[in-house]
Amino acid sequence: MVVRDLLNQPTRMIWHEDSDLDDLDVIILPGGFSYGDYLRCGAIARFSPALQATIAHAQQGKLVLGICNGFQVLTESGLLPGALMRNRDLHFVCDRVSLRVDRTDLPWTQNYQSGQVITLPIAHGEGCYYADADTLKQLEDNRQIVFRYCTQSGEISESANPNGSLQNIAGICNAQGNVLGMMPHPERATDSTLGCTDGLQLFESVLAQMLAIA
Amino acid sequence: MNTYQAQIYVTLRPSVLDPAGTAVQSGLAHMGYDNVEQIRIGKYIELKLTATDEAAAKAQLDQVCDRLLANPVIENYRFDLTEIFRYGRSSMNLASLCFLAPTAIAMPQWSCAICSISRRA
Repeated sequence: MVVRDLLNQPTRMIWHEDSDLDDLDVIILPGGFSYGDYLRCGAIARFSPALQATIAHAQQGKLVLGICNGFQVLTESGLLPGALMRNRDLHFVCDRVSLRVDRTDLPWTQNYQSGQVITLPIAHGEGCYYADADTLKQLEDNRQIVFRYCTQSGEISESANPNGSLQNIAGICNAQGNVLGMMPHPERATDSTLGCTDGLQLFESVLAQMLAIA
Repeated sequence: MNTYQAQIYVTLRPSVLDPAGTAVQSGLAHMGYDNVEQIRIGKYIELKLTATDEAAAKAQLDQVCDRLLANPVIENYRFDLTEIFRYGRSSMNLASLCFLAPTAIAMPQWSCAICSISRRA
């Protein structure tokens, strides 16, 4: 909807059995549930033909965005490190949260200001980001943490952490920066009728990047 | 080919917090069982598989666990493997022959699917 109707970009849906994705510049794995999320969220989706083709797409350096369940699929597939587990308080959390944009030199975030606090909706039961200490250090050292849960003034605190994610992680990218996974839903904050437009800049950033390349 | 029954236990790695386990523990404490601690909730998976021998079955189970059944980032796994003995070409499960105890005991490894007794080499 966002890319097709708000940005007027040619967009097609990918069926899980599709394995030819060569015509695409950007692949977006949306939220929801995949294969019933049996065993673990995203665990079975990882082996679908479309995901295998998405991995190949990412390995060519092309852009892949995973939102919510899409983020879970990306960690399960190994495109992003770590894992997403049951929320700290075991509840499904449906809310609007403040996020600090920690990195703005990516195709995904170049239209934001570094340290900018934005508001995006979240809606998940398994959004608690976990990675071992070494992986967390690598994420910090390589500046792969893109979004963190924060207070409205941008402070990173436990009280602003809706799900228990380590380091308040809400979104990370791979080392190259072409794969982004995030639990919050930028696509649900793209039109003023939705109450918030802070997510639109993410999609506009990508579009600007693609236009700059072309 | 031999047939094996596998019992797979997937557990959270010790470094990973288990909020569900903590919630269950506090539930038990409310019930008066305040001597219970360190509850960790995992998954139990059963499956049957065919393989040329036990080593091949174990190798395949390791693969299956590493690739799908467990997520090595957050989980450990272990499994028990038992051969399901089949009598000759009739493919009759030893279950029906449990009363032939002397024969069964002479076999190095077998299990009975009905009365769930087994003998491992």
